[in-house]
Amino acid sequence: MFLEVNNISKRYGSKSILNDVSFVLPAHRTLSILGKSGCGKSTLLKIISGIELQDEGLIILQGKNISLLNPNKRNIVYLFQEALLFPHLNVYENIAFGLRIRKEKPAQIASKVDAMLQSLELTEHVLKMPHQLSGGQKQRVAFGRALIINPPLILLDEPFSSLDVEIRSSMQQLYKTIAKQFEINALFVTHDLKEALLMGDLISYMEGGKLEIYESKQQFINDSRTGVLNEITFWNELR
Amino acid sequence: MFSKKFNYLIYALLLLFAVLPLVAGLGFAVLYSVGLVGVLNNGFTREHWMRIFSEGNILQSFLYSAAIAIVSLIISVSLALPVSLKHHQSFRKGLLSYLIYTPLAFPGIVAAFFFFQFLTKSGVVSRLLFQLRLISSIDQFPDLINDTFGIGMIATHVFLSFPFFVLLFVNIIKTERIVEYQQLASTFAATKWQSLFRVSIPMLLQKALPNIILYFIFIFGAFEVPLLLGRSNPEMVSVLAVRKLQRFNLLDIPQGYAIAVLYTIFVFILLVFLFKVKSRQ
Repeated sequence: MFLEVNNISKRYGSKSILNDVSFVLPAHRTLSILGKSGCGKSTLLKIISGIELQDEGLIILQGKNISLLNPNKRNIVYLFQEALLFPHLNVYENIAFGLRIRKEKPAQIASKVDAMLQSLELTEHVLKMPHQLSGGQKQRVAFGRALIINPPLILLDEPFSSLDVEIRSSMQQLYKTIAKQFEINALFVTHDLKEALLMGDLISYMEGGKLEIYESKQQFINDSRTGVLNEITFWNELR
Repeated sequence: MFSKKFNYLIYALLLLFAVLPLVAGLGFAVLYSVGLVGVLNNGFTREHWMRIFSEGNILQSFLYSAAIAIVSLIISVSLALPVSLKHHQSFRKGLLSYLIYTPLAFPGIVAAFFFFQFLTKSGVVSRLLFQLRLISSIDQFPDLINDTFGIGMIATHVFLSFPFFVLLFVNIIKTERIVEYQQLASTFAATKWQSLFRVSIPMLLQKALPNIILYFIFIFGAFEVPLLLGRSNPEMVSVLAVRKLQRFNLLDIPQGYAIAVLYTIFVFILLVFLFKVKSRQ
Protein backbone atom coordinates (compact mmCIF):
# COMPACT_ATOMS: atom_id res chain seq x y z
CA MET A 1 0.00 0.00 0.00
CA PHE A 2 1.10 3.55 -0.66
CA LEU A 3 0.23 4.89 2.80
CA GLU A 4 -0.47 2.86 5.93
CA VAL A 5 -1.70 4.53 9.10
CA ASN A 6 -1.69 2.08 11.99
CA ASN A 7 -3.38 2.60 15.36
CA ILE A 8 -2.72 6.33 15.70
CA SER A 9 -3.84 7.83 19.01
CA LYS A 10 -3.51 11.36 20.31
CA ARG A 11 -4.61 13.03 23.55
CA TYR A 12 -4.45 16.65 24.71
CA GLY A 13 -4.44 16.40 28.50
CA SER A 14 -7.39 14.25 29.44
CA LYS A 15 -9.16 14.76 26.10
CA SER A 16 -8.80 12.01 23.52
CA ILE A 17 -8.60 13.48 19.98
CA LEU A 18 -7.65 10.42 17.93
CA ASN A 19 -8.53 6.96 19.11
CA ASP A 20 -6.73 4.07 17.41
CA VAL A 21 -7.10 5.39 13.86
CA SER A 22 -6.05 2.96 11.13
CA PHE A 23 -6.47 3.03 7.35
CA VAL A 24 -4.61 2.41 4.10
CA LEU A 25 -4.44 4.49 0.94
CA PRO A 26 -3.62 2.87 -2.42
CA ALA A 27 -1.41 4.77 -4.90
CA HIS A 28 -2.83 7.62 -7.01
CA ARG A 29 -6.00 7.91 -4.97
CA THR A 30 -7.63 10.74 -3.03
CA LEU A 31 -9.27 9.80 0.26
CA SER A 32 -11.99 12.20 1.41
CA ILE A 33 -12.27 12.54 5.17
CA LEU A 34 -15.64 13.92 6.19
CA GLY A 35 -16.37 14.98 9.74
CA LYS A 36 -17.76 17.70 11.92
CA SER A 37 -15.58 20.48 13.37
CA GLY A 38 -13.42 19.28 16.24
CA CYS A 39 -13.63 15.58 15.37
CA GLY A 40 -9.84 15.32 14.92
CA LYS A 41 -9.52 15.58 11.11
CA SER A 42 -6.90 18.36 11.15
CA THR A 43 -4.98 16.69 13.99
CA LEU A 44 -4.77 13.49 11.92
CA LEU A 45 -3.32 15.42 8.95
CA LYS A 46 -0.88 17.30 11.18
CA ILE A 47 0.35 14.02 12.64
CA ILE A 48 0.82 12.46 9.19
CA SER A 49 2.73 15.54 8.02
CA GLY A 50 4.90 15.55 11.18
CA ILE A 51 3.75 18.98 12.41
CA GLU A 52 2.45 17.18 15.50
CA LEU A 53 3.53 13.86 16.99
CA GLN A 54 1.20 10.99 17.81
CA ASP A 55 1.14 9.43 21.27
CA GLU A 56 0.94 5.96 19.75
CA GLY A 57 0.88 4.34 16.33
CA LEU A 58 2.84 4.05 13.10
CA ILE A 59 2.82 5.81 9.75
CA ILE A 60 4.30 3.93 6.80
CA LEU A 61 4.77 5.82 3.53
CA GLN A 62 5.89 3.84 0.47
CA GLY A 63 7.11 1.07 2.76
CA LYS A 64 9.17 3.41 4.97
CA ASN A 65 8.38 4.09 8.61
CA ILE A 66 8.14 7.89 8.88
CA SER A 67 6.39 7.97 12.28
CA LEU A 68 9.13 9.89 14.09
CA LEU A 69 10.70 11.86 11.24
CA ASN A 70 10.73 15.68 11.30
CA PRO A 71 8.27 17.30 8.84
CA ASN A 72 11.12 18.47 6.58
CA LYS A 73 12.26 14.84 6.13
CA ARG A 74 8.84 13.38 5.26
CA ASN A 75 8.31 14.98 1.85
CA ILE A 76 4.60 15.40 2.58
CA VAL A 77 3.00 18.76 1.76
CA TYR A 78 0.26 20.10 4.02
CA LEU A 79 -2.18 22.59 2.49
CA PHE A 80 -3.83 24.65 5.20
CA GLN A 81 -7.41 25.96 5.20
CA GLU A 82 -6.11 29.29 3.96
CA ALA A 83 -3.62 29.53 1.12
CA LEU A 84 -0.89 30.89 3.46
CA LEU A 85 1.15 32.33 0.61
CA PHE A 86 4.39 33.86 1.83
CA PRO A 87 3.46 37.58 1.96
CA HIS A 88 6.99 38.80 1.21
CA LEU A 89 7.26 36.75 -2.01
CA ASN A 90 5.50 37.28 -5.35
CA VAL A 91 3.57 34.55 -7.19
CA TYR A 92 6.68 33.31 -9.01
CA GLU A 93 8.78 33.08 -5.84
CA ASN A 94 5.95 31.46 -3.86
CA ILE A 95 5.69 28.68 -6.45
CA ALA A 96 9.48 28.37 -6.64
CA PHE A 97 9.82 28.18 -2.83
CA GLY A 98 10.16 24.39 -2.51
CA LEU A 99 12.61 24.22 -5.41
CA ARG A 100 14.81 26.94 -3.91
CA ILE A 101 14.79 25.07 -0.58
CA ARG A 102 16.03 22.02 -2.50
CA LYS A 103 18.72 24.21 -4.09
CA GLU A 104 17.77 23.30 -7.65
CA LYS A 105 19.57 25.09 -10.50
CA PRO A 106 18.04 28.46 -11.54
CA ALA A 107 17.41 27.28 -15.12
CA GLN A 108 15.55 24.21 -13.85
CA ILE A 109 13.53 26.33 -11.43
CA ALA A 110 12.57 28.78 -14.19
CA SER A 111 11.39 26.07 -16.56
CA LYS A 112 9.40 24.20 -13.88
CA VAL A 113 7.77 27.37 -12.54
CA ASP A 114 6.85 28.54 -16.06
CA ALA A 115 5.25 25.18 -16.81
CA MET A 116 3.31 25.25 -13.53
CA LEU A 117 2.15 28.83 -14.09
CA GLN A 118 0.80 27.80 -17.49
CA SER A 119 -1.00 24.69 -16.27
CA LEU A 120 -2.67 26.72 -13.48
CA GLU A 121 -3.38 29.68 -15.82
CA LEU A 122 -1.43 32.07 -13.61
CA THR A 123 1.04 33.49 -16.16
CA GLU A 124 -0.44 37.00 -16.12
CA HIS A 125 -0.17 37.19 -12.30
CA VAL A 126 3.44 36.07 -12.04
CA LEU A 127 4.79 39.31 -10.54
CA LYS A 128 1.85 40.04 -8.27
CA MET A 129 2.17 39.93 -4.50
CA PRO A 130 -0.26 37.71 -2.53
CA HIS A 131 -2.38 40.65 -1.33
CA GLN A 132 -3.09 41.53 -4.97
CA LEU A 133 -4.71 38.12 -5.69
CA SER A 134 -8.29 36.89 -5.25
CA GLY A 135 -9.10 33.96 -2.95
CA GLY A 136 -9.26 31.48 -5.84
CA GLN A 137 -5.99 32.73 -7.35
CA LYS A 138 -4.29 32.40 -3.96
CA GLN A 139 -5.42 28.76 -3.69
CA ARG A 140 -4.18 28.05 -7.22
CA VAL A 141 -0.76 29.46 -6.29
CA ALA A 142 -0.82 27.32 -3.13
CA PHE A 143 -1.55 24.24 -5.28
CA GLY A 144 1.24 25.17 -7.67
CA ARG A 145 3.66 25.63 -4.79
CA ALA A 146 2.76 22.16 -3.48
CA LEU A 147 2.67 20.30 -6.80
CA ILE A 148 5.92 21.66 -8.22
CA ILE A 149 8.06 19.66 -5.80
CA ASN A 150 6.16 16.53 -6.80
CA PRO A 151 5.52 15.29 -3.25
CA PRO A 152 4.45 11.67 -2.86
CA LEU A 153 1.54 12.72 -0.62
CA ILE A 154 -0.51 15.92 -0.32
CA LEU A 155 -2.68 16.66 2.70
CA LEU A 156 -5.50 19.11 2.05
CA ASP A 157 -7.14 20.56 5.15
CA GLU A 158 -10.44 22.10 3.95
CA PRO A 159 -8.58 24.10 1.29
CA PHE A 160 -11.71 25.60 -0.27
CA SER A 161 -13.67 26.37 2.89
CA SER A 162 -12.97 30.12 2.75
CA LEU A 163 -14.00 30.49 -0.94
CA ASP A 164 -17.43 31.52 -2.20
CA VAL A 165 -19.66 28.94 -3.91
CA GLU A 166 -18.72 29.71 -7.52
CA ILE A 167 -14.94 29.82 -7.00
CA ARG A 168 -15.18 26.77 -4.76
CA SER A 169 -16.86 24.82 -7.57
CA SER A 170 -14.22 25.84 -10.13
CA MET A 171 -11.41 24.96 -7.68
CA GLN A 172 -12.97 21.53 -7.12
CA GLN A 173 -12.95 20.96 -10.88
CA LEU A 174 -9.37 22.20 -11.09
CA TYR A 175 -8.35 19.81 -8.31
CA LYS A 176 -9.94 16.85 -10.13
CA THR A 177 -8.06 17.78 -13.31
CA ILE A 178 -4.66 18.23 -11.69
CA ALA A 179 -5.13 15.16 -9.47
CA LYS A 180 -5.46 13.13 -12.66
CA GLN A 181 -2.70 15.00 -14.52
CA PHE A 182 -0.13 14.75 -11.70
CA GLU A 183 -1.32 11.34 -10.36
CA ILE A 184 -1.76 12.83 -6.93
CA ASN A 185 -1.97 10.81 -3.73
CA ALA A 186 -3.96 12.86 -1.27
CA LEU A 187 -6.03 13.02 1.88
CA PHE A 188 -8.78 15.61 1.47
CA VAL A 189 -10.38 16.80 4.71
CA THR A 190 -13.74 18.52 4.49
CA HIS A 191 -16.91 19.05 6.48
CA ASP A 192 -18.91 19.52 3.27
CA LEU A 193 -20.85 16.43 2.24
CA LYS A 194 -20.95 17.23 -1.48
CA GLU A 195 -17.25 18.09 -1.54
CA ALA A 196 -16.37 14.78 0.13
CA LEU A 197 -18.28 12.88 -2.55
CA LEU A 198 -16.85 14.94 -5.42
CA MET A 199 -13.21 14.98 -4.39
CA GLY A 200 -12.60 11.48 -3.09
CA ASP A 201 -11.93 8.26 -4.95
CA LEU A 202 -12.45 6.77 -1.49
CA ILE A 203 -14.63 8.25 1.23
CA SER A 204 -14.31 8.07 4.98
CA TYR A 205 -16.14 9.49 7.96
CA MET A 206 -14.56 10.61 11.20
CA GLU A 207 -16.34 10.90 14.52
CA GLY A 208 -15.15 10.87 18.13
CA GLY A 209 -11.54 10.34 17.08
CA LYS A 210 -12.33 7.24 15.01
CA LEU A 211 -12.15 6.92 11.23
CA GLU A 212 -14.22 4.60 9.04
CA ILE A 213 -13.51 4.10 5.33
CA TYR A 214 -16.49 3.04 3.19
CA GLU A 215 -16.11 0.30 0.65
CA SER A 216 -18.47 2.03 -1.76
CA LYS A 217 -20.25 5.33 -2.21
CA GLN A 218 -23.56 3.51 -1.65
CA GLN A 219 -22.39 2.34 1.77
CA PHE A 220 -21.43 5.93 2.58
CA ILE A 221 -24.85 7.16 1.45
CA ASN A 222 -26.65 4.52 3.51
CA ASP A 223 -24.84 5.40 6.76
CA SER A 224 -27.20 7.70 8.64
CA ARG A 225 -24.31 9.46 10.47
CA THR A 226 -22.99 11.01 7.25
CA GLY A 227 -26.20 12.99 6.71
CA VAL A 228 -26.60 12.00 3.03
CA LEU A 229 -30.04 10.43 3.62
CA ASN A 230 -31.23 13.58 5.39
CA GLU A 231 -30.07 15.67 2.43
CA ILE A 232 -31.87 13.41 -0.05
CA THR A 233 -35.06 13.55 2.03
CA PHE A 234 -34.80 17.34 2.26
CA TRP A 235 -34.46 17.83 -1.52
CA ASN A 236 -37.16 15.25 -2.27
CA GLU A 237 -39.60 16.96 0.07
CA LEU A 238 -38.81 20.28 -1.56
CA ARG A 239 -39.87 18.86 -4.93
CA MET B 1 -26.43 65.93 10.12
CA PHE B 2 -25.03 65.89 13.64
CA SER B 3 -22.26 63.51 12.66
CA LYS B 4 -21.29 65.76 9.72
CA LYS B 5 -21.02 68.77 12.06
CA PHE B 6 -19.06 66.66 14.53
CA ASN B 7 -16.64 65.66 11.76
CA TYR B 8 -16.10 69.33 10.83
CA LEU B 9 -15.43 70.10 14.50
CA ILE B 10 -12.85 67.30 14.70
CA TYR B 11 -11.14 68.55 11.51
CA ALA B 12 -11.13 72.13 12.87
CA LEU B 13 -9.61 71.02 16.19
CA LEU B 14 -7.03 68.90 14.37
CA LEU B 15 -6.14 71.87 12.18
CA LEU B 16 -5.98 74.24 15.14
CA PHE B 17 -3.95 72.11 17.57
CA ALA B 18 -1.93 69.78 15.34
CA VAL B 19 -1.39 71.23 11.86
CA LEU B 20 -1.38 74.98 12.53
CA PRO B 21 1.33 75.06 15.25
CA LEU B 22 3.52 72.81 13.10
CA VAL B 23 3.09 74.87 9.93
CA ALA B 24 3.45 78.14 11.87
CA GLY B 25 6.60 76.90 13.61
CA LEU B 26 8.13 75.67 10.39
CA GLY B 27 7.16 78.88 8.57
CA PHE B 28 8.73 80.96 11.33
CA ALA B 29 11.91 78.85 11.19
CA VAL B 30 12.13 79.24 7.40
CA LEU B 31 11.60 83.01 7.59
CA TYR B 32 14.14 83.34 10.42
CA SER B 33 16.71 81.26 8.53
CA VAL B 34 16.48 83.52 5.44
CA GLY B 35 16.64 86.73 7.49
CA LEU B 36 13.04 87.90 7.08
CA VAL B 37 12.24 87.88 10.82
CA GLY B 38 14.42 88.15 13.93
CA VAL B 39 15.95 91.00 15.89
CA LEU B 40 19.37 91.01 14.25
CA ASN B 41 18.25 90.11 10.73
CA ASN B 42 18.33 92.81 8.07
CA GLY B 43 16.18 91.38 5.28
CA PHE B 44 16.36 88.42 2.89
CA THR B 45 19.70 86.61 2.78
CA ARG B 46 20.96 83.18 1.84
CA GLU B 47 24.05 83.64 4.00
CA HIS B 48 22.90 81.49 6.93
CA TRP B 49 22.05 78.58 4.65
CA MET B 50 25.36 79.00 2.76
CA ARG B 51 27.18 78.92 6.09
CA ILE B 52 25.57 75.75 7.36
CA PHE B 53 26.37 74.00 4.07
CA SER B 54 29.93 75.34 3.95
CA GLU B 55 30.65 74.36 7.57
CA GLY B 56 31.41 70.66 7.49
CA ASN B 57 30.08 70.02 10.99
CA ILE B 58 26.41 70.19 9.89
CA LEU B 59 26.73 67.40 7.34
CA GLN B 60 28.97 65.54 9.77
CA SER B 61 26.32 65.95 12.44
CA PHE B 62 23.55 64.56 10.20
CA LEU B 63 25.69 61.58 9.19
CA TYR B 64 26.76 60.97 12.80
CA SER B 65 23.13 61.06 14.02
CA ALA B 66 22.09 58.67 11.24
CA ALA B 67 24.99 56.33 12.05
CA ILE B 68 24.13 56.26 15.79
CA ALA B 69 20.47 55.56 14.94
CA ILE B 70 21.31 52.83 12.40
CA VAL B 71 23.84 51.04 14.63
CA SER B 72 21.48 51.20 17.65
CA LEU B 73 18.63 49.79 15.58
CA ILE B 74 20.74 47.03 14.00
CA ILE B 75 21.88 45.86 17.45
CA SER B 76 18.44 46.18 18.99
CA VAL B 77 16.58 44.42 16.16
CA SER B 78 19.27 41.72 15.90
CA LEU B 79 18.86 40.97 19.61
CA ALA B 80 15.07 41.22 19.64
CA LEU B 81 14.55 38.89 16.64
CA PRO B 82 16.03 35.68 18.10
CA VAL B 83 14.69 36.42 21.59
CA SER B 84 11.13 36.94 20.37
CA LEU B 85 11.22 34.01 17.91
CA LYS B 86 12.56 31.64 20.57
CA HIS B 87 10.52 32.84 23.56
CA HIS B 88 7.37 34.41 22.06
CA GLN B 89 5.13 32.21 24.21
CA SER B 90 6.87 33.30 27.43
CA PHE B 91 6.33 36.99 26.63
CA ARG B 92 2.56 36.52 26.35
CA LYS B 93 1.96 35.47 29.96
CA GLY B 94 3.77 35.12 33.27
CA LEU B 95 6.58 37.16 34.80
CA LEU B 96 8.43 37.93 31.56
CA SER B 97 5.33 39.50 30.03
CA TYR B 98 5.43 42.13 32.82
CA LEU B 99 9.22 42.52 33.12
CA ILE B 100 9.62 43.32 29.43
CA TYR B 101 7.59 46.52 29.91
CA THR B 102 9.93 47.84 32.65
CA PRO B 103 12.57 49.51 30.43
CA LEU B 104 9.77 51.13 28.41
CA ALA B 105 8.77 53.05 31.53
CA PHE B 106 12.23 54.69 31.78
CA PRO B 107 12.34 58.25 30.39
CA GLY B 108 15.32 58.81 28.09
CA ILE B 109 17.06 61.13 30.56
CA VAL B 110 16.80 58.55 33.40
CA ALA B 111 18.19 55.80 31.19
CA ALA B 112 20.99 58.13 30.05
CA PHE B 113 21.86 58.99 33.66
CA PHE B 114 21.78 55.31 34.58
CA PHE B 115 24.28 54.46 31.81
CA PHE B 116 26.37 57.48 32.75
CA GLN B 117 26.70 56.12 36.31
CA PHE B 118 27.61 52.71 34.97
CA LEU B 119 29.97 53.44 32.11
CA THR B 120 32.09 56.46 33.10
CA LYS B 121 35.71 55.92 34.03
CA SER B 122 34.73 56.32 37.70
CA GLY B 123 31.45 54.44 37.27
CA VAL B 124 30.10 51.18 38.63
CA VAL B 125 31.55 48.87 35.95
CA SER B 126 34.99 50.47 36.19
CA ARG B 127 35.02 50.12 40.02
CA LEU B 128 33.85 46.53 39.77
CA LEU B 129 36.62 45.65 37.31
CA PHE B 130 39.12 47.41 39.56
CA GLN B 131 37.93 45.44 42.62
CA LEU B 132 38.20 42.24 40.60
CA ARG B 133 41.75 43.33 39.70
CA LEU B 134 40.97 43.12 35.98
CA ILE B 135 42.23 46.70 35.62
CA SER B 136 44.94 48.22 37.77
CA SER B 137 43.91 51.88 37.44
CA ILE B 138 40.89 53.89 36.41
CA ASP B 139 42.65 55.05 33.22
CA GLN B 140 42.68 51.52 31.87
CA PHE B 141 38.89 51.56 31.64
CA PRO B 142 37.94 52.50 28.06
CA ASP B 143 36.07 55.71 27.13
CA LEU B 144 32.45 54.66 26.86
CA ILE B 145 30.82 57.99 27.70
CA ASN B 146 31.23 61.13 25.55
CA ASP B 147 33.33 58.91 23.26
CA THR B 148 33.96 59.13 19.50
CA PHE B 149 31.93 56.03 18.64
CA GLY B 150 28.94 56.98 20.78
CA ILE B 151 29.04 53.67 22.66
CA GLY B 152 27.23 55.09 25.70
CA MET B 153 24.49 56.56 23.50
CA ILE B 154 24.13 53.35 21.50
CA ALA B 155 23.95 51.23 24.68
CA THR B 156 21.23 53.50 26.10
CA HIS B 157 19.19 53.46 22.88
CA VAL B 158 19.48 49.67 22.67
CA PHE B 159 18.37 49.38 26.31
CA LEU B 160 15.34 51.57 25.57
CA SER B 161 14.37 50.09 22.19
CA PHE B 162 15.06 46.37 22.74
CA PRO B 163 11.87 45.68 24.76
CA PHE B 164 9.85 47.71 22.29
CA PHE B 165 11.03 45.52 19.40
CA VAL B 166 10.55 42.31 21.39
CA LEU B 167 6.93 43.28 22.09
CA LEU B 168 6.44 44.33 18.48
CA PHE B 169 7.87 41.06 17.08
CA VAL B 170 5.96 38.89 19.59
CA ASN B 171 2.77 40.61 18.47
CA ILE B 172 3.60 40.15 14.77
CA ILE B 173 4.45 36.46 15.34
CA LYS B 174 0.92 36.03 16.67
CA THR B 175 -1.05 38.19 14.23
CA GLU B 176 0.84 37.10 11.10
CA ARG B 177 0.73 33.41 12.12
CA ILE B 178 4.50 33.04 11.76
CA VAL B 179 4.46 29.65 13.54
CA GLU B 180 2.06 28.26 10.92
CA TYR B 181 4.28 29.61 8.13
CA GLN B 182 7.26 27.90 9.79
CA GLN B 183 5.32 24.63 9.87
CA LEU B 184 4.34 25.11 6.24
CA ALA B 185 7.97 25.77 5.26
CA SER B 186 9.06 22.62 7.10
CA THR B 187 6.63 20.51 5.04
CA PHE B 188 8.44 21.90 1.97
CA ALA B 189 11.60 20.34 3.45
CA ALA B 190 12.96 23.62 4.84
CA THR B 191 15.44 23.18 7.69
CA LYS B 192 15.12 25.36 10.80
CA TRP B 193 17.72 27.80 9.44
CA GLN B 194 16.09 27.96 6.00
CA SER B 195 12.73 28.55 7.64
CA LEU B 196 14.27 31.28 9.80
CA PHE B 197 16.10 33.16 7.05
CA ARG B 198 13.67 32.59 4.17
CA VAL B 199 10.37 32.91 6.03
CA SER B 200 10.30 34.12 9.66
CA ILE B 201 12.85 36.95 9.58
CA PRO B 202 11.82 38.42 6.18
CA MET B 203 8.15 38.35 7.24
CA LEU B 204 8.88 39.98 10.61
CA LEU B 205 11.12 42.67 9.13
CA GLN B 206 8.68 43.45 6.33
CA LYS B 207 5.83 43.91 8.77
CA ALA B 208 7.94 45.83 11.31
CA LEU B 209 9.60 48.14 8.76
CA PRO B 210 7.27 51.15 9.35
CA ASN B 211 7.95 50.94 13.11
CA ILE B 212 11.68 50.58 12.52
CA ILE B 213 11.62 53.75 10.37
CA LEU B 214 9.67 55.60 13.07
CA TYR B 215 12.16 54.50 15.72
CA PHE B 216 15.00 55.63 13.45
CA ILE B 217 13.41 59.11 13.33
CA PHE B 218 13.07 59.03 17.13
CA ILE B 219 16.73 58.13 17.77
CA PHE B 220 17.94 60.49 15.02
CA GLY B 221 16.23 63.41 16.74
CA ALA B 222 16.69 62.29 20.38
CA PHE B 223 17.95 65.06 22.64
CA GLU B 224 18.42 63.97 26.27
CA VAL B 225 20.61 60.92 25.62
CA PRO B 226 23.17 62.68 23.35
CA LEU B 227 23.10 65.76 25.60
CA LEU B 228 24.34 63.70 28.54
CA LEU B 229 26.32 60.93 26.85
CA GLY B 230 27.41 62.40 23.49
CA ARG B 231 30.50 64.43 22.69
CA SER B 232 30.71 67.96 21.34
CA ASN B 233 32.38 67.04 18.06
CA PRO B 234 30.73 65.48 16.18
CA GLU B 235 27.44 66.07 17.94
CA MET B 236 23.93 64.83 17.27
CA VAL B 237 21.68 67.09 15.15
CA SER B 238 19.26 67.94 17.96
CA VAL B 239 22.04 69.03 20.31
CA LEU B 240 23.72 71.08 17.56
CA ALA B 241 20.45 72.84 16.65
CA VAL B 242 19.65 73.68 20.30
CA ARG B 243 23.21 74.89 20.91
CA LYS B 244 22.95 77.24 17.93
CA LEU B 245 19.54 78.50 19.10
CA GLN B 246 20.30 78.98 22.78
CA ARG B 247 23.96 79.93 23.07
CA PHE B 248 25.19 83.48 23.61
CA ASN B 249 26.01 84.34 20.01
CA LEU B 250 22.68 85.69 18.69
CA LEU B 251 24.05 85.65 15.14
CA ASP B 252 23.99 81.84 15.29
CA ILE B 253 20.22 81.70 15.82
CA PRO B 254 19.27 81.77 12.09
CA GLN B 255 21.64 78.83 11.55
CA GLY B 256 19.88 76.96 14.36
CA TYR B 257 16.57 77.49 12.57
CA ALA B 258 18.08 76.43 9.23
CA ILE B 259 19.25 73.16 10.85
CA ALA B 260 15.76 72.64 12.29
CA VAL B 261 14.24 73.17 8.81
CA LEU B 262 16.72 70.71 7.28
CA TYR B 263 15.88 68.18 9.97
CA THR B 264 12.15 68.62 9.31
CA ILE B 265 12.66 68.08 5.55
CA PHE B 266 14.69 64.93 6.27
CA VAL B 267 11.97 63.57 8.58
CA PHE B 268 9.30 64.49 6.02
CA ILE B 269 11.14 62.49 3.31
CA LEU B 270 11.35 59.51 5.69
CA LEU B 271 7.64 59.80 6.46
CA VAL B 272 6.78 59.79 2.73
CA PHE B 273 8.89 56.63 2.40
CA LEU B 274 7.11 55.19 5.46
CA PHE B 275 3.66 55.82 3.94
CA LYS B 276 4.79 54.20 0.69
CA VAL B 277 5.94 51.12 2.62
CA LYS B 278 2.64 50.99 4.52
CA SER B 279 0.55 51.34 1.35
CA ARG B 280 2.51 48.49 -0.26
CA GLN B 281 1.63 46.30 2.71
